[in-house]
Amino acid sequence: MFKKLFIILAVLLLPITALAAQNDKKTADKPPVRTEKSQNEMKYTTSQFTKPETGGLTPGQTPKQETSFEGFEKAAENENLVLYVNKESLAIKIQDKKTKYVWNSGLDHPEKYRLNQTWEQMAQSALTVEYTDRRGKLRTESITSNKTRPQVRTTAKGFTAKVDFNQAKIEFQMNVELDQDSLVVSIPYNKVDDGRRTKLISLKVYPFLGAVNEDDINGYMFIPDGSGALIRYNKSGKTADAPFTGAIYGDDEAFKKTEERDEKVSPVEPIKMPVFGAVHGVKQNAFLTVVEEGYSYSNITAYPAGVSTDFNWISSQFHYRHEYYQPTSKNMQGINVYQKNANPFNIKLRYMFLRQNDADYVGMARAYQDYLVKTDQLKKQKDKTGVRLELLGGEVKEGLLWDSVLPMTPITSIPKMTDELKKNGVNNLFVVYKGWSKGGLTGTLPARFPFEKKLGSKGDVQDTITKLKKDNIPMYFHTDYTKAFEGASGFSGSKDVAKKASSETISNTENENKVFYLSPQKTLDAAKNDVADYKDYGISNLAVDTSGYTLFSDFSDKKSSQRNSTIETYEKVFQNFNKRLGNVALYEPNTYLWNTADRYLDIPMYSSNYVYETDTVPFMQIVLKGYMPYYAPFSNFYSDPKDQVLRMIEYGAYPSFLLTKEPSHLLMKTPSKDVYTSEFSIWKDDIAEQYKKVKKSLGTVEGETIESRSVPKTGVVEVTYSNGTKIIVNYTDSAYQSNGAEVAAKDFEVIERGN
Amino acid sequence: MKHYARIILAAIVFILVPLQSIASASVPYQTETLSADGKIIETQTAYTPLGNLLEDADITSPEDIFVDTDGKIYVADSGAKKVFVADQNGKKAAEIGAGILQDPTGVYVDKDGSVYVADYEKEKVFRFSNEGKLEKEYGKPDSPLFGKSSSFKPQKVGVDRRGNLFVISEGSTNGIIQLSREGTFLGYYGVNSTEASFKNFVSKLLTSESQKARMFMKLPPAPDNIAIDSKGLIYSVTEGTKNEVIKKLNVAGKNMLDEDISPETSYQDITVDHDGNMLAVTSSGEINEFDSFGNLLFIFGGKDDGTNRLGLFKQPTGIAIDPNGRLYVTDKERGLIQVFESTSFSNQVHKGIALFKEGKYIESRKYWESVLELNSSFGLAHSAMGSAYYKQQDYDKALKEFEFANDVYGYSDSFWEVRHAWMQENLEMVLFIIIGLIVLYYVLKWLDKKRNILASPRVTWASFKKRKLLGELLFLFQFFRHPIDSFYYLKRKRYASVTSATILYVLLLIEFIVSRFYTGFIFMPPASDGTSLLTELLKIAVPLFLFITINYLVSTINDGEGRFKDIYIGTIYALAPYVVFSLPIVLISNILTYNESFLYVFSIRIIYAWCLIILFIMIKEIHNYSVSDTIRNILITLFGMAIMLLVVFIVFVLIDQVYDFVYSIIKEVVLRV
Repeated sequence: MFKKLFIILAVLLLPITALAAQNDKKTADKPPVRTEKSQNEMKYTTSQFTKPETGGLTPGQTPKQETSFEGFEKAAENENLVLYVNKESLAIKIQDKKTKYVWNSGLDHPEKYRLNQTWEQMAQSALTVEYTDRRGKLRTESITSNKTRPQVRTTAKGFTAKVDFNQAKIEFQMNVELDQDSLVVSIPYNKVDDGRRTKLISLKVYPFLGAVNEDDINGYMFIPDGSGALIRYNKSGKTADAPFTGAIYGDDEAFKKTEERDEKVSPVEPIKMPVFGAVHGVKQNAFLTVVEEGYSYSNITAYPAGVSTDFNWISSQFHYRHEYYQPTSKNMQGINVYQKNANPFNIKLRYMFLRQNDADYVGMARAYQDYLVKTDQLKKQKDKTGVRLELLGGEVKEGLLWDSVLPMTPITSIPKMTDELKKNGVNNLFVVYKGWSKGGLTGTLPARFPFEKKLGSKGDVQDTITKLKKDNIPMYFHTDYTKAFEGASGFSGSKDVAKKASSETISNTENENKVFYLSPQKTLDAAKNDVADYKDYGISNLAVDTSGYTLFSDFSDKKSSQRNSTIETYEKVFQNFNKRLGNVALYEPNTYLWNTADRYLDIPMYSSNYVYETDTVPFMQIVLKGYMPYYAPFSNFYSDPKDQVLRMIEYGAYPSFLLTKEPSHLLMKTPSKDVYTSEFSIWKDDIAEQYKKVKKSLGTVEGETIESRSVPKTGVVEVTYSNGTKIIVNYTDSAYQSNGAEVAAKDFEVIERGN
Repeated sequence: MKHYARIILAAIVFILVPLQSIASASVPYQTETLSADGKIIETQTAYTPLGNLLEDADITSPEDIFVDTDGKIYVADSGAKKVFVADQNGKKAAEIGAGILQDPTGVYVDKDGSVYVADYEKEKVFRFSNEGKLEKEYGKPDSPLFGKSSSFKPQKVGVDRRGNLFVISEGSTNGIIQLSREGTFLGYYGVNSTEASFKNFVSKLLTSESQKARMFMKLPPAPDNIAIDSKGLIYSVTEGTKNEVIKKLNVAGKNMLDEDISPETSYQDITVDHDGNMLAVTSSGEINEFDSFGNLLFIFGGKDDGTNRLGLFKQPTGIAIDPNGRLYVTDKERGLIQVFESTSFSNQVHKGIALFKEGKYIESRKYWESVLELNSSFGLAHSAMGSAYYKQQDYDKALKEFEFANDVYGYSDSFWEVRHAWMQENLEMVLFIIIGLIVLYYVLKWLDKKRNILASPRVTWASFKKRKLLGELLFLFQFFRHPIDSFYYLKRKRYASVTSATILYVLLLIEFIVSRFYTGFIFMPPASDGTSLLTELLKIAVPLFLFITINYLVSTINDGEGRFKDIYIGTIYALAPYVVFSLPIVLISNILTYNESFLYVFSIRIIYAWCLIILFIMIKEIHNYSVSDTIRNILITLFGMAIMLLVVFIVFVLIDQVYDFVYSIIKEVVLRV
């Protein structure tokens, strides 16, 4: 049936294209097209896309290994894994019973590689500690450095070891246990014994587990950078001079030095998921590590071959004491010091071993998804293909005598826009309304009420919400429970503001406005108090910015809050809204808030562009797909809209638009000058077009999870969903054929099961 | 208050917590462009980093990069001491000059494929065949014109279509060294000019000729890099100077670009694409793109913050663009060559510019329209749209676009057309009304003569004028005809009062503000958002206040007769021409075009001169001075005003210091106790 239609269409369209081609010939004074095909595809071989898998063994086969268990003793065994331990260094080997593959925490023949003594000791030891000696000098010690003798005791599932570092005089207890398909390593805080004169700074646990020399094995390391990124094993390069390091959930503002930053260079993508992994042979063997406890104080570090050593290794590092800058004078001179007291936290790492078909980043993401669902960190939310319209209400404008509010989108104009879009076929929408507080978008928080008069009255707000509800369009009100602008009402500059370890306030400048972070307790109080006001206006859904992706400690005297307790407080904030108000959509939330949000806004679609990254993969998208609908950043600001829409389809993300009723150039002289295109009348056609494309593709897989993803050819991606539907996206300039299906250039094709 | 806040802001350095950019894109830098009012604004990504070129080759310290017309890439590497050649696809194809080159810092390939390499250490330029055979060496020219003491330290090299070499030599303040293909010295080319600074000007004024001769002569800065476009035009960049940092030189060696093209002072290299757009890279890793006229298009790239990301640089040295529009930038310290590709957004801009450059305004319109949809504030697009509308004789729209783009000339031209059209339509009406009014006037006059019908209005007017305050205000008009007498009346007969003067001062302030904000667009571009009413008011109120007080203080010790009150009243009455005429001029300025600008400029100057003359008379009469006394008094007053400002400034600084001191002490006490 469809084929016939296609043929008819093609016959009808042919003359038109032929005519068009003739027209093209007439205007031949254009510069000649010099682009060659091979060059055009270079874009899709960059680290912002995924490369096709090449080389190596056939899937399912295990790479050849020469392992000896000399010096190792069997500590535990279950149906999937066998654990061996070396009682001197506490190095471990884990054998996968199905594939017989052996994972090694150290090196069997360290003399074969270029490694100096310190590196070798670190590689071979279970623990490597950083501490300050009695003179305050930073030192490193591994178990094998000074012949520390751990006391090992085997338990039912593994072993427990007591490690008292010889030189550092710091004691730990480490438990290593098998748990079904995983290995769990934990170090309880109450068994950590700081030295009398030495201070514990940081700890590395099994850093070389799964380390690979240069490109000895086909595979990659996975880092949770942006949407997810891979570092394929390569020969030692010299492009990078520093490893990948990133604090889980971003750096803690409380320990950051107050300094100017180059604003033109955007910051790297913060880590939003406490996971990392490595693949030894794609579709053969892999592991994913989840930092279950201690993530608030943990870094993820990945060394590609060529940085310091020839090894690719990935691990996490735990910081018991952070270093921070203590200014002692007003011109910001001062000294670097370590925290006086250690951060109290337990360490718990779960290594999940994956094999065969699951041994790639998709398998990792699915394993993590299972884990999150099992531990109640991810809930199934309603998933319907739609578009996010974010509407900017009012923005403050500096006036000759006083500041005024520039009304960009009065609330009553919203139903008109949604009606118009509905007429054009955009059936599923949701609206986020921002800049609605009195005084406009910038400079008003934390005061949220009353509603800005120029945008409408209380009655208008209620009417609009009901009107949209009738059309099945949920309306979310944008706000932020972390930021407080200097000079705004609703908080006390001395009591309610979070402080750094150096007792400065945590603040930054945004468009010449000073912004503070509210102390978590104040956030919770405000969230509780605001509910009545929201109800008064009929507001039931919120879209909360900043709070979802900002995690900091507060060192104020009375309300101090460690990162861990900040997480708890924030969870309470959003549970409070869920219970008493309605749905909350969060902007780029970290994992600990995923079960409180019903929509994920501004999901990262790229990685940070590190030179050593080889691929970007939709790891976070695979984790979330089918559970929480996620929305891409605004389509307004894309420089290659065609590619970006294809990417959204490939990643399963729904489009977003930032819109205003008035022309955007009016915003030029306001703090929102970065909104350089937003006028509804300009964008309405694009909204309809992008919606149609997304509906045609992602509409067929609503609520489904991603089963597999493959790259058959540079610039072509196939994503298979749990209902069997396959979406093929072709970024290249030429058509792609696969099993009878043809995907036109720069287009996509949906292949339902059975076809 | 706002000002105060700014000062505090400047005094305290805040932490800049990473902000979540609104357009979270795939690149680690912001791309910026110029808005209509000349401000730097964010825009869509113009170029995205693709990765590194020749990753497998042993590149250590790339110094310069060149792409020939076939797309072959040549890299001069001073660390590896050779030139690497890559084919169109970026695969390594050959190496040139191993064993011959010592410190290759510049490379150029002419249309025949000969490879020229500048070697700094060997003090020579080498010419290789495309296969890598050494063909010729160019050493220091022995021509006496070159100068015996001048050194020949070639850093960069370029070859024009005739085969002449252009060599950038270290410290060559005479300009670019021009050699023939055979190696004979042809002369210097494109010498830079010394900066015209105030200090230079003063020192030139104050020193005698002989002193000047003995003094160290300020030398013009030497050009640092060179590029040659497909038409054979030569481009140079110069570091460490403020004017003419980028030059586009014609055959005569004259710069065709604006000398204040960019505030950037550290351009390292420049390249030109086939449309004549220039791309230059700064030492901080910022890449600036200009169109062929020198209008800034994009700023992108940035300094590596230690995170090893693509798109950022540690020490960029060379830049080149290939025929496909792909951009290559060498980073000497990281030993990398990064590749960028233009996005479809910048392609739109480039297409628009290519057509616009050739005067095809209307054809370029569709590109500019889509650019404006993507960025409604893109400055160049508004100018171009204005030109397109103008060409299509849609003058009203053109007027709007030009006003938006702050394009005074375009605005003036369109306004002329709009005004012309209006006059065509309404001229009859206007003439009719004017004639009608004239007729009416004479009829009234005639009737008045005959029947005296205007008697009663005349009486009312006379009685109205008799009211004291009004009389005082109207006394202003006397100063036009009899300034000297008027000041006599002012001083002796009290023809004006403090009240009337104050009213006039207020009027003056209002008029000043009106003229500031309502003068025609052509003569005074609209105030930018930085100007507030208060600062504008201060601009006039402070000088007036200072003048009145200082003049009083100075005159009292200089036998001046004037009391404070007299000076207060006298000053405003002396400014009568401004008070009376400024409003009409503001009105007229709104209907003039650039062609008639002399009318505006001339009348403004007359008003100022007139005011100054009356002011002079005022001081002379009020204080009863002789002419020489008056001049002396004025000079001392001006000096006093300057001193006063200085004192205020010093006091302010001192207070600030005290505040800092107290703040530090409190902070320290809080921290330590």
